[in-house]
Amino acid sequence: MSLRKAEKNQQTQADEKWSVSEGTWISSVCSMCYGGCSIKVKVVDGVVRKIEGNSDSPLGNGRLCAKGTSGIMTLYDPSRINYPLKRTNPEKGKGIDPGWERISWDEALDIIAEKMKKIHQDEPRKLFCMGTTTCASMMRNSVRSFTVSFGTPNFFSGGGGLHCGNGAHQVAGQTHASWSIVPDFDYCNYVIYFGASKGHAAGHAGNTNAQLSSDARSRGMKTVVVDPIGFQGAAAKATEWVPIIPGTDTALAIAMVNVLINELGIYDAEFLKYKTNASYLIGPDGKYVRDTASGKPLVWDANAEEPKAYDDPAGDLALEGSYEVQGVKCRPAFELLKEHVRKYTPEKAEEITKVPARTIRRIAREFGEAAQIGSKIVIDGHELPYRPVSTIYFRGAQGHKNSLYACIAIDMLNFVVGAADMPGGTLGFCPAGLGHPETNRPAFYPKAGLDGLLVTGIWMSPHTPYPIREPAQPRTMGLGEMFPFALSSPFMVSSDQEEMWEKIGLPYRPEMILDHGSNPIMSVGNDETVINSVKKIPFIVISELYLNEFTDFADIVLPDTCYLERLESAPNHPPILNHPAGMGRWGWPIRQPVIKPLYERRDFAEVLLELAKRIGISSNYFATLNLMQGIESPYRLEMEGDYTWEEVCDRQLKSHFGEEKGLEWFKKHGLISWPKKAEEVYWRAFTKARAPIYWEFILTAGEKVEPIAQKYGVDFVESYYRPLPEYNPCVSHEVKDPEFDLYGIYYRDIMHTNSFTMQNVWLDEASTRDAYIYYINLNTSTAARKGIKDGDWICLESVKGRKVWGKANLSEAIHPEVLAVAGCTGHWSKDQPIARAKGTFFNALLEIDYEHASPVNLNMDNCVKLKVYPSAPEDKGGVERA
Amino acid sequence: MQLIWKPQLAWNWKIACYLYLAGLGAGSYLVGYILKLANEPAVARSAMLISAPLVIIGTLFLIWDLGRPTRFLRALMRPIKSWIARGAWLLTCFTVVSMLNSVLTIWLFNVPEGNSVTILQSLGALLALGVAVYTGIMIGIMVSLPMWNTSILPVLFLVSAVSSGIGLVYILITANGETFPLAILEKMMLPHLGILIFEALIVYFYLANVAKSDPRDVHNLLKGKLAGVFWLGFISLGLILPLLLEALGTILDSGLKSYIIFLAGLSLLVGGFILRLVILLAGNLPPVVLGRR
Amino acid sequence: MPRWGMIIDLNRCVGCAGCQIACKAENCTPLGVTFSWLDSQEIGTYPNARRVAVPMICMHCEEPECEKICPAGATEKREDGIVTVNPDLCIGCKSCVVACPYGARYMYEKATTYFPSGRTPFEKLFDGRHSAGTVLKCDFCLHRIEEGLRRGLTPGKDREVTPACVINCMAKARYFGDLDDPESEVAQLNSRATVFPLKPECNTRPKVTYGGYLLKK
Repeated sequence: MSLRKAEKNQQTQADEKWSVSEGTWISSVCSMCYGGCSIKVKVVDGVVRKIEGNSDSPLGNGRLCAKGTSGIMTLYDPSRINYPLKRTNPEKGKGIDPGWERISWDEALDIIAEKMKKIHQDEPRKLFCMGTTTCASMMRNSVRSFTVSFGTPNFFSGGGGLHCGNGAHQVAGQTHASWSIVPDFDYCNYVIYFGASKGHAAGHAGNTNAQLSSDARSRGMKTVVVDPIGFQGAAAKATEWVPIIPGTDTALAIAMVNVLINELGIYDAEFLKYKTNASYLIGPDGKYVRDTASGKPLVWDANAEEPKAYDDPAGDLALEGSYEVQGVKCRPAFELLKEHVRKYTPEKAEEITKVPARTIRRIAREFGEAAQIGSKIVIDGHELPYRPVSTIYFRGAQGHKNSLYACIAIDMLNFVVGAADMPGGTLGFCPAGLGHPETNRPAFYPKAGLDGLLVTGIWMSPHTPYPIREPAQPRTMGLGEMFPFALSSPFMVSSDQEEMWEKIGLPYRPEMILDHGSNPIMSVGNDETVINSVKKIPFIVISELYLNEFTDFADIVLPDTCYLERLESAPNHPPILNHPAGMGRWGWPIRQPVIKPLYERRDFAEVLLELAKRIGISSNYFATLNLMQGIESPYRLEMEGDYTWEEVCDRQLKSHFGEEKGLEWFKKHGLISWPKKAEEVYWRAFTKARAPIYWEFILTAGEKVEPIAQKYGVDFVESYYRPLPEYNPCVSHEVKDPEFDLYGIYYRDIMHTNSFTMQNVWLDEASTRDAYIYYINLNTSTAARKGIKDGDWICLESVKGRKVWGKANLSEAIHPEVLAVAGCTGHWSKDQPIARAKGTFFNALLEIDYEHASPVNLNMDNCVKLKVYPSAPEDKGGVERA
Repeated sequence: MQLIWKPQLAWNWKIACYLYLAGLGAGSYLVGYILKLANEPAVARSAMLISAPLVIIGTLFLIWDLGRPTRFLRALMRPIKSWIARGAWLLTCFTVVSMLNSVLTIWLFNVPEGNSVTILQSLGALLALGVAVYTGIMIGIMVSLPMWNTSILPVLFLVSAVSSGIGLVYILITANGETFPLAILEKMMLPHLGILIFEALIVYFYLANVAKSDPRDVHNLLKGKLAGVFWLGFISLGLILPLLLEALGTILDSGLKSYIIFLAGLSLLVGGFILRLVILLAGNLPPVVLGRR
Repeated sequence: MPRWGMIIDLNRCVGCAGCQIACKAENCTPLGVTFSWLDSQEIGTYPNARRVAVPMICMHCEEPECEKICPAGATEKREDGIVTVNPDLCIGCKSCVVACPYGARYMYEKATTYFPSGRTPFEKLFDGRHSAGTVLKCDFCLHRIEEGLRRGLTPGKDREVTPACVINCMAKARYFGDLDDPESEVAQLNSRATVFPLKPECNTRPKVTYGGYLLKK
């Protein structure tokens, strides 16, 4: 009886701690992925008790995914790094214990600052900075600013970019003025996803998009998903799943454009004439025919029957025909497009993609018909074109050598039917904003630039995607100058980097890595190559949550704060990264520490301020922060000033929202929110900026790149530098050995972000229950052919002899020629006991070199041809199915 | 992915011991009761005497399996609704009656055979019948597990309990040849052959019946992970071997006979346990299947 | 007296497991114990195949097998229909764990922690929340519902007194409320012909029902 009483007693006490009424809610912003959802965190006695979505914010509307809710276990994980650590074992290698020794912050900063000071005086470009896409806002607003102010162009976002979007982000910037694209879920009736999962996955406003996509599905929106795998993401929710051979989406998309404009004659002529460069006259050299005086591209005025500059208020612009202007025979770009796509018949596309020609024709027709070309809708008092169809692309379609053309071709469908940034169509993530009504800040708006083409109003890095960089002799580790369409470069860690640097005569070699949270050993390609590359760098400093495969090579490790212990004044800015598109409200929340950083963890933003001070580059840093964070007078950071991170944040907020609304106001209120306007969401209808459907500037860039490439003995591949998209095969498509008969791809599971969430104990528990995440997924019939049974250990072997092992999961919902693994599983660091030996490390199969990268934008090819056979590894690791 | 039939792991070998010992105890009491009616009071007394300790040991296994063993008395709380509670009552009552019987008829020899003892022993037999049947009901009522959810199980467990009880009596007799005349065996073997064949038929009928609605579990038992235990442990050791040995025993008339029957008894005991264990382990929670309305 | 129930729209669910983790965080369920969890299954054959995510939870049956079998009177179907386990009465016989056709009950054998190094500060907040040696299960976040009724709020409408899995769901796939209140969303949705229970063959009459599942060619 006394036992029972004691229990009861305990229960009542506990009741007080976790009951609904106990504790305080603090508003902040999630960072378990780069989606940046607004959260409310309940704190009881200084302990985080619960994380929920913030229902006052349009960024998530009070809802949250598994990762967001599981942040508690990332905060309190005993495997977290809590003190600065110094390496004592000079020998570096996989599986070699660095011999960590705890040191003080002062000592750590002294060592780092001394080294950096030397590099800064000697050659700042020897500093190689890294950031993680998981903390995208932190990467842009702090780490990159620091990199720029230090004077080094060498920045790398782990595998980010190489995998997710050298093509996707750059093309979205050039055509939608934004980082990514998404269907206008509020109005869209028919959407085609190409290797994308917007609304069914993590990242880029994933949570809000899930709400919107579910609403759209309930409303009856049809979703066609082109993807090799059908067991997850958008494909699992699709009205129709169209399985495809990886890396061939371009052929399918061009064939659909062909069916629309040549077979069905469905296209939005008005849109093409005034919102794209379809009417620009193209000469026999493939370039714009320009007005001799002004240099402006010419169009043909069909009423006046004469050429005019593109921005002349002309009568009716010709899209077809053949003309002679200034003694040159020329045709409108659209005419060339029509001709160009003819060779991509659905039958030819079927050969490449294995999607039946019948299906291609049907989907193209359904898409064209659903576009309702000519229809209008009134929104917010504005009569706008109503185009309730959309096509979007993302990592799946663009994660190949042909990345650039894949995005161009898929997006072309939007432009042909006039659905780009129109109601119901395909929207960029919030590229236009007129600012808060009280301050008109922050304001940004896409505008017409060089040759009338679209220039972004705001961008993730200082250089806008258009006009592209002028090709030049490379002087950066990544050789970006030679590849003006690249956002990120494999040469930062590739197997042929030294060879390339030799060729171009790189005048320095990296001497130090300063990394915030990225783990390139797991997130780029095969670990052997990355390890060889980072091992050469004598001094590596990493600010991290956990010791991992990369910290094994570090000299100093700094204990980073996680997002619940961190301050950021602009976690959702610029909104092109993760602010929900479509009508609704704007939201600008702040990320604030909900508890004091535990142990000696320190916010890396503060560390950077301190380092800048010690190195003596504070004034540079403040200037860059002013620029990147949009801090205007009178709140600008003074060059000679000395600011804490709180003060920087305070000034940014006041600069945007007025004296009253500084950090204190935001800490209390969490966020500021105001309604969106139709001019912002459907900005394209309100601007004269045109999007390219004829990519003349790829052609001209190629002409400039070619001599540079030849000069340095780097391969120039002409078929990637044409003004209209072509299907170029991946390396894997050209493997002829019949033993290697399966395409290996990885996918991003909705439960995980990059590699770091694998250590979250709640997510791991959920993943262990999942039939797919920790398994190698392949089609039932394929497995039967190879004598593989469900749960069998199998080996994946690449043409280059790289091998990984895992357990098979047999699925009907995957292409029979494809095998898929959840990305970034298969950690091996003993410092991550939860993540260790769960799943299969797919990236180990990927080559990192120029051969496997796009010759135009350096995007890495993420598919690989594999031999698959039953085989058990020595170290089984792995998990048992729940 | 394949749909997963999740093995029930909540009840394991401890519950198998409980089911087995409760069944064996009840079975030996029943056999004793019948032997008494068949005018074999000495053997009958021993068989009845051993029943209560067996049931008590079985109950100890059950208590050991509880998450809160100190609360075991609460298992008696809800006999109106819960079969588990009814079972607890049955076991308690049987144990009390059986022990009372033992106390009266064995330690207090002076109590003469008479109406009161007969009534007590008959009541015990009725309760033993209840206990044996109950061990089948306890798992037979689980609508969650198709492998268990059948009204044949109580019958099967009853027959198996009697059979195991006979096995126990075989051992009692053959191990104490001086005390008990082997002639009793002659009375028992032929009927028991019938019981064994009947049991085999029930098992067949049971599996065929389950297979009709959910062949997967039966397949698992006959050809899957449990096949070895099932075929070797139950079918061979628990059915065929005693059948052969007893058949041999009926024909043979030599000194070997007692050994053969001893062996038969032993294999019956082992087989009885294996039967419970294998059925417990064969219980799988079927997956939710969409589209089934 | 209300009769609480839930509807899960499988057409909306995107399979993020947010419900599972929201429940973890709300109830601090021990390792391996998931009151709310995500199941999935594949339907059809290639290429007309799809994986359907099926979020699971205690069905709070009208005819609960677990309650019928409980010998100790620990499991109770309350007047408001919520099926609960009284940890002070539970003897840990596990018969309910076996009896539940949905696998929604868990035997919490011994007090466990997520990490071998001991309880996290978060886990310490929940001292005594779950009794070792007893059976644990979903109670529709009873502590939230009771708080709501104390404060005159409506579970299902008012966020802080609605079950954690419902308010958290980022696909808005879960609805909660009083099935007997004709005005409530759940009652209206429940009257649709397309709403169905899981494992109807068990005759448990679940108060958690499903809808919206479709697979088109």
